[in-house]
Amino acid sequence: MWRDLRDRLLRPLIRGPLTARHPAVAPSLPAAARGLPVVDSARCDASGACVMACPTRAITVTEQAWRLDLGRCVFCAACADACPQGAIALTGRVELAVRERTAAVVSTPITGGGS
Amino acid sequence: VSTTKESAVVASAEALLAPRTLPDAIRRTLGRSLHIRHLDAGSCNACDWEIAALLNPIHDLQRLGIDVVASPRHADLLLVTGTMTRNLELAALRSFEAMPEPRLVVATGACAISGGVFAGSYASRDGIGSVLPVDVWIPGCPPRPEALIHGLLVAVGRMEAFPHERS
Repeated sequence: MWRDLRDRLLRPLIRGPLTARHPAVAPSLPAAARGLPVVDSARCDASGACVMACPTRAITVTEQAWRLDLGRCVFCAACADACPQGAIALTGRVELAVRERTAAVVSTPITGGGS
Repeated sequence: VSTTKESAVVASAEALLAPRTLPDAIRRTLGRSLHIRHLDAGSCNACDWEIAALLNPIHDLQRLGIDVVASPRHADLLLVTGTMTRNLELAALRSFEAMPEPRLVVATGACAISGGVFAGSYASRDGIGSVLPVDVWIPGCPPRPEALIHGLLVAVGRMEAFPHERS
């Protein structure tokens, strides 16, 4: 009975509401959550390993830029695993909604030639 | 005094004549409230479960004045998941046509945007964009509930679209 009282009455009172404060503050996500993939433009050597690894062909790489279509991306991190330079990382950024289809394509200039 | 009055009249006339974007029309008609009809157009159900998670006590969508309704006739926004299979094209169009104006369409997840992992299939379109006029695209596979909330608030002009300031 005391345990019941503690778990069902006291604990919720101490803990406060479970409802996320999300739209008001940035979302708090579990560490494993995968969001917007970003590339380190200094480390990328445009090898194209990520292009080959991507299951939905969301990535295009030219000499100048690394381009990712978020509308195709399934956030699987295969690109990050495949990159020989370890230049790609998936961030915790998940608020990615856009008004225009073209705005879903993110482009990062490639500045470095790798190591 | 008269000039300010005149300029106010001119300003309001200009506001009336200016082409309104849909979020403006939505805000004028609905205020901050929004009713959603969820339409599954051939989804794997991952997006649908994330939408279901919006209604749990953690995300509690109703606290934002947004709710899910059971008919497109009651809805302001069509939340579409899935690749738009050929068999569902007509149903999707009819759902859209049944909605009162102003109406919004949101493409949810990689499938609804581009076909995702099913792109190029003979059995479906590559996303819903070729059938319905999409207002907001929510990337993700599936998009997290936070991403869905962001997309819905972008649709009604209550949040900024990506890329925004907040990380």
